[in-house]
Amino acid sequence: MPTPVSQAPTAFSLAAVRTAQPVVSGGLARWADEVSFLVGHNVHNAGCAFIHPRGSGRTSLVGLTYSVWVPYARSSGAQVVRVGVELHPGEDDEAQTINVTLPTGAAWVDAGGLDGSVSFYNPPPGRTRGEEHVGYVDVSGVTVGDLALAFQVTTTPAGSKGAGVRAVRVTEVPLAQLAVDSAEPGWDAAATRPGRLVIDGGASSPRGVQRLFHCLDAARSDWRKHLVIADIESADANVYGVTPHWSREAATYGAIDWGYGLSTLGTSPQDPRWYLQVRSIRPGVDTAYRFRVRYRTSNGTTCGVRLIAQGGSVSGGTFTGAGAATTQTLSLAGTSGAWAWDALDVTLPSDGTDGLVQVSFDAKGPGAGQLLSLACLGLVENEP
Amino acid sequence: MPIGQRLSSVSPRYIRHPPAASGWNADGDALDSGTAHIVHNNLSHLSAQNARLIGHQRGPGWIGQLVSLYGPFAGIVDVAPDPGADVYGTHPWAQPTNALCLGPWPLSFTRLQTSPPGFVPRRVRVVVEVQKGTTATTTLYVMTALVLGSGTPLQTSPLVRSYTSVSATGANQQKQLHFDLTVEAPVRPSELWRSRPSGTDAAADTLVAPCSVWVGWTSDDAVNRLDAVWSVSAFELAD
Repeated sequence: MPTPVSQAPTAFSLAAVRTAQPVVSGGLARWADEVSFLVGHNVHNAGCAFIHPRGSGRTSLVGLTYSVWVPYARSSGAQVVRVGVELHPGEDDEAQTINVTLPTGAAWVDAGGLDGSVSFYNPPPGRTRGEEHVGYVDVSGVTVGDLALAFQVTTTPAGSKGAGVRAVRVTEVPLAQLAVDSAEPGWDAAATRPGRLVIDGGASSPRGVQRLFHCLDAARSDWRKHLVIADIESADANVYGVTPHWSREAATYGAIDWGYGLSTLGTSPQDPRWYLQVRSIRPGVDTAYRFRVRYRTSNGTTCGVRLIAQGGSVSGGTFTGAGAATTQTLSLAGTSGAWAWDALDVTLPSDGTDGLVQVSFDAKGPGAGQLLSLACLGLVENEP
Repeated sequence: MPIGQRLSSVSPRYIRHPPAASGWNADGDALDSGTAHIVHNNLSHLSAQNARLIGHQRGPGWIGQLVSLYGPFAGIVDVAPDPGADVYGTHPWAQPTNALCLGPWPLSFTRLQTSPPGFVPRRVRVVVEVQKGTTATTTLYVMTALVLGSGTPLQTSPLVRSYTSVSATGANQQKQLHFDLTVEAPVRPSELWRSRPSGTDAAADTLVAPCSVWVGWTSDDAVNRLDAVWSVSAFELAD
């Protein structure tokens, strides 16, 4: 029978397992419940992208064909992913098609018009609730552990007037039950009921103690935090200061132009930094991540982007580093106008308070008159 | 408090065990209590540590409003500000220049609470990087709210909310404002999400409690507009 999936972990006191006493079946039943929570309910949140309107002097999103990428790595239990796409407010005749290109192995369960088949009108301005369109994707055929996958959401304006996508949200859907099936990390809860013989079972059997070990390890090594900082990619080839993309022109490492512009008094913007809490699987050991970048160079010059990470704490409105910041460099081959992915294995420090890490990025462009454009910076956990 | 005891409360950790299919546990063998302790510890540790990242966004950059907090409601047709309300009720959550929404994601209930009794979701931390400019007697407000679904805090009752403000001091202030959002009451699942392509093996839908984080900002520096929001980070906190 399928195992019900709990939305909460199970309470347990270690004192219930008495040293030098036989292990009773009630303890095994708790294992089954806990595994179902870990691999069936507590699944991945791939993240979201919020697309701000472009500033003055920049190429407008209205009438622009563009894509938003969200990197995605499947957790071992997930069967379906929810994709939500919210539209910018627009005028009466502004509409676009939304086409979500799915990762390899995925297929639509219910596209909800997000397969490019429907022309969505932008909602009128002045409403407090956004207009979100939702599709559900079967990811049971997506390879667990493939860190090169992503959802691509492309908006194509109808009659060059669509206001485009305001937000993209990708999250795995928890299961109600784990199937008794070797193809997913399910476990037959009946096998741990009182009176049942403890069997070995093997990793692929849905019954047996080793299956529990297999599922437990999947909750460690196949479970990944996703950090996604995403904007748009388009064919727009305008130069520095006009481009709608995040960019870097100078051929030295320095601040990325995130599109903030200058203040009214001509002040330069601050470089943004982001924060996350890394998992503490083995205390004191840095956490492995895959750093993924979606980019384009306007000519064939090799560029680069650097990840700067520092553990620390935040209190009273101030981040305080625990140790020195580390810089890890991803060299980006020139693409001469084509968009491409590149990736680098990196580590995030473990010395922050409760695992807190600050990350930021800078980049090296191709030089005067040319441009490195960035559409997505992603970190996907890669626990060995 | 977190659920599930671990072997060490000082330095809790995952303890690697032999891989599955190594054949080390023959059929019919009794399990020793040491192995059971380790596996229980590992399960509890992963339940505590597998906290999801919710969203990381570039902020809008320079901000500023005209005249008052009520000005931004111009053009909003389906709600009006309540002058008697607190900052949440007077904030223009609908304006993309004043707020963003991260989520929804399905809550996991990893903490057990006794008053009121029940399972409560993981705590959520929001870190907002801002700049408070030098314009005298002006204030930057940043507010956060955790809501069920994705409606704005104007339309839904937040599960928990928090806000802060930064006043001008005469010098530019770069701040990392952090908000720890702790839900103090059990939350009932409220939406049915599709969870399988078909229902032949198991149920095709799951009842979940989808939650969203709203982050809003406003400034009364309408003259120079020297206040800014650079980035927003939101993530579940490990227990």
